[in-house]
Amino acid sequence: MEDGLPLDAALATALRPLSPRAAFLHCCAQGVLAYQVAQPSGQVVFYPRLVAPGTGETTLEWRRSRGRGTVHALTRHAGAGIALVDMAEGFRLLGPVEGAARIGAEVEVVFRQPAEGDIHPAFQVIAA
Amino acid sequence: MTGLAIVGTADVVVNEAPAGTTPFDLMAQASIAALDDAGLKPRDVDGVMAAGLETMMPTLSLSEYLGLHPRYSDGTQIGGGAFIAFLNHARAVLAAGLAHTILIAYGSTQRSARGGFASAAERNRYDAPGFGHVPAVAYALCASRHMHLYGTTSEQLAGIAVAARRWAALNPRALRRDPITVGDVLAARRVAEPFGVLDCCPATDGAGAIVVTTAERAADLARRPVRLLGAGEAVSHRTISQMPDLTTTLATASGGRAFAEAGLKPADIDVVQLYDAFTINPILFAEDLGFCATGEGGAFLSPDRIGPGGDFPLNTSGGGLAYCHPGMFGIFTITEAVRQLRGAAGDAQVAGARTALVHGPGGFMSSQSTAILGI
Repeated sequence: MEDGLPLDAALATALRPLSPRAAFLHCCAQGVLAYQVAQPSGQVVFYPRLVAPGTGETTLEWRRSRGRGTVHALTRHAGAGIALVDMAEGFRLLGPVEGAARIGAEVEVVFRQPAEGDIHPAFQVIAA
Repeated sequence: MTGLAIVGTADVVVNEAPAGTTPFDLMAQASIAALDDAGLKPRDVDGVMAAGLETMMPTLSLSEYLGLHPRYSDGTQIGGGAFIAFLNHARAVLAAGLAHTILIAYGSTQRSARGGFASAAERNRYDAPGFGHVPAVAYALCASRHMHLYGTTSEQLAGIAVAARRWAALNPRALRRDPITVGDVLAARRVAEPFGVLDCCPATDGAGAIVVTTAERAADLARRPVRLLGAGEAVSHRTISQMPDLTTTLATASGGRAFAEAGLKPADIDVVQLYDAFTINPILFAEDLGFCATGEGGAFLSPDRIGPGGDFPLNTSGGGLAYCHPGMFGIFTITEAVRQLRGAAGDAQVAGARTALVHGPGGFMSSQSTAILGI
């Protein structure tokens, strides 16, 4: 498991008044896949929350994922590949996968803005 | 042994109800038939437990419909297995003296009302838009992982559906009675790999109801009661991306609690009902409940072993895949187990069945509920 990166100061400041969902989307719009690390336990938290599961910690620090992961489980539905991906920082993300994927494939996160709805992460295969 | 006795059951099995039928029409039909089965009237009911997909306050609406005035209501919605969890709740209610005769009911117009209602289900907004909440997608992810880790095959998944049709052929009320082959299942329209349409429960209308009371009161009723020997439930997550381990469900915990309370082990169970929303489900549950080793469920649940005449009779009504599937199947695992224990399952009767295990998940393998019944 690898550590993510700190957010740059301006982005971290911008997130402060935002709800977890709004903060996540704000980061997506800047090409940043954000996740949280609870303090002081260091527990990786995703999806973003105000309270860490299990520990109940209420200090959750935003981190920037390096955007790399491994396909954990995979299906196809309505013509689209859908992958559950183990991100290198230790959280799991479900999203559409572009290209020929298999379980175990390495993927990287890209961001997609659908015609309707929120911007969201998707995956591209980088090594089958 | 829990002190809870099942004294009445009924199913209303209908592929598509007449236009305008409401979930409560069907739920009320099943309820009154279950009360009749128990030799009871609506005025005897003082507890109501119900859950639904289209319904917001089902215990209120059902009570209004039937003229019930319960002093105890439970509308816990933990998905399709909720009705098994209701047995766990009801035994506590009975033991506490908060009610003495409890009606547990489900009804849905899944099929006839398609598109006519909106689901109130919470969604994980961080999951793939449009996909994370699709049940077939979530369960397909579990299946893909099981196949990857243990070499489980599409043919083994298909065998679950083949056996369901064999049981349904013996059940005149089942809605999908035509025999199918493994080849048919593999060739069917793809829904979410590795599932084709025959790996997935169809949507039908329907309803089921159960009447439970204390062992003491049951002794005064006409029917030989079916006893709740043990029960357990567990919750691990809500959305599929939060499931801790895609190939191990908390049936390990719910089943462990039920077996411990009953003082039984898997080999002691005569007939098994595992909610088969998708063909992967019984495979995971057979492993997690201890009927076979982890990773071996695909090979263990061969059509010949689980079908009629096999030594592990599974889903003897035809299950959700072939009997009926009005959205939440949990209650039908119980009504079928009761039929088997009463010796009333007709051509599908498992000779000498004295113990039954029923198990259902909810959400996306999120909740797990297990009950062990005996006569």
